[in-house]
Amino acid sequence: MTANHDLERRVADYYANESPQRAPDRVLVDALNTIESIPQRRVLALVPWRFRPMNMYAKLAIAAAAVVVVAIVGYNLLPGRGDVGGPSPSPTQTPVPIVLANVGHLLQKDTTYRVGIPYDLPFTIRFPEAYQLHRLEIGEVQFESVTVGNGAVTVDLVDGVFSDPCHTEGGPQKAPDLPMTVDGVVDALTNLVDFDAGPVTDATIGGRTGKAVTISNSIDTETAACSGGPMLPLWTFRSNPEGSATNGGTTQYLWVLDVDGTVVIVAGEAAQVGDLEPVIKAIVFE
Amino acid sequence: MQTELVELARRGDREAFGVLANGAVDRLYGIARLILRDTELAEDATQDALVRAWRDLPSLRDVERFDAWLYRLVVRACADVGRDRRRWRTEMIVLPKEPSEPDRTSELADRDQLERGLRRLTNAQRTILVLSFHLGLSPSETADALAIPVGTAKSRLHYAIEALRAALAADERPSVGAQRKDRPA
Repeated sequence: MTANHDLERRVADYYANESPQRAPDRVLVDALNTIESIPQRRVLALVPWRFRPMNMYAKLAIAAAAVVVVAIVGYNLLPGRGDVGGPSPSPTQTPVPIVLANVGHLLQKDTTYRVGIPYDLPFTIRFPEAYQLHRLEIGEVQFESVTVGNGAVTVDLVDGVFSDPCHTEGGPQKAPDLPMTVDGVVDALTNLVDFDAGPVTDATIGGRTGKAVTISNSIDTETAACSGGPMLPLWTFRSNPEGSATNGGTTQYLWVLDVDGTVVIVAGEAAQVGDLEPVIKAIVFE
Repeated sequence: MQTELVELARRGDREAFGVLANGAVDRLYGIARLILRDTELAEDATQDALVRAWRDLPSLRDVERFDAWLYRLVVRACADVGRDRRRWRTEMIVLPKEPSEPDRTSELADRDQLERGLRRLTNAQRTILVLSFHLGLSPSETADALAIPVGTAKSRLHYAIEALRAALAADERPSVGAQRKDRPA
């Protein structure tokens, strides 16, 4: 034991006497030049949602929203209010355009929004509760529920699918020669290495047909030595070759649609698929 | 301050990431150099770690753990760079050390001997020593940086020390390889 401690002390002394090393300037310069052309990997959703840190303002906003909800419900429960449980209020008739400036902002419940420029395939959407616009670009738009546990919905204009998101050498592997059709994309998604896929069913969203499937993984990215890092990229989409990625141990509810020849993935992560359905069903492509 | 920069960089702010990278590059390079024992490879690993940091920053769940996360990235980059080096260096022959009388009183000689011993270790063994004795990380912090259980971190450290002890002992013996090399085929 003493011999061990002596050697440990020698090693510690050795490192302590190492003069601090300054990296050559080119290391930082080259790295920063490289990232200029590298988009950040998109995260479908970070789970578990309940562990997401919340700042004080967010807590206050949710508390305020809860007070409002309680007040409205309480008002509706007063004697003489006969419309409790009746039809929900009709959505806004004229869609409200969503623009880049809305990123990070809250979207109101029961309001119809139109997703357009810079997004390449305009559609309208409506939320049963307050959602936040998380991301908007040419090939992807993402919304997140502000209610803990209710998840996120991403609509991607997909142009490639990975075959092995956690390849242990050389980074994630792309599915080669993938036919960009609903069947081709679904086939690739249901064959992701180390992912489990549920049954593929027919699906229709906003009059567009396609397939629905649930995929999940139990990859422990902390120990799996995925060569591409801790995120598991699933597919790429227009404007982002790095693609959309997810964490280990997650489940994605996917709807793969053909919208006038473009393959669209509507992806949801939530505690239950039922939490997503009101949002998914409200999507209407133009 | 760093937390705010990490939050900004997570949302795609390259300028914020540049500030973070500038503050971390020397530290990462120092770690990589100690693990890889090669300045050029250390440069590659540092660059690789910074690029991965940018690319995967949106996945960082706890911004307070940015530094530990960076350590993990540079350790992984060192493993990748080291793996590549192994591929093209397998043909190299390590020349036997000339037998000499060790100067046990000289600090420099002791340092040289330790240097040689460390070179004989694998990258993984040097990694655990660097994290534990250079960065001074606790077993749980080391485990976090390596993404392994604490028990595994402790045992890896133990075996790395044992491997270093064996390497130092071998260093003090005349090289068997030298005798074998002169043996007729």
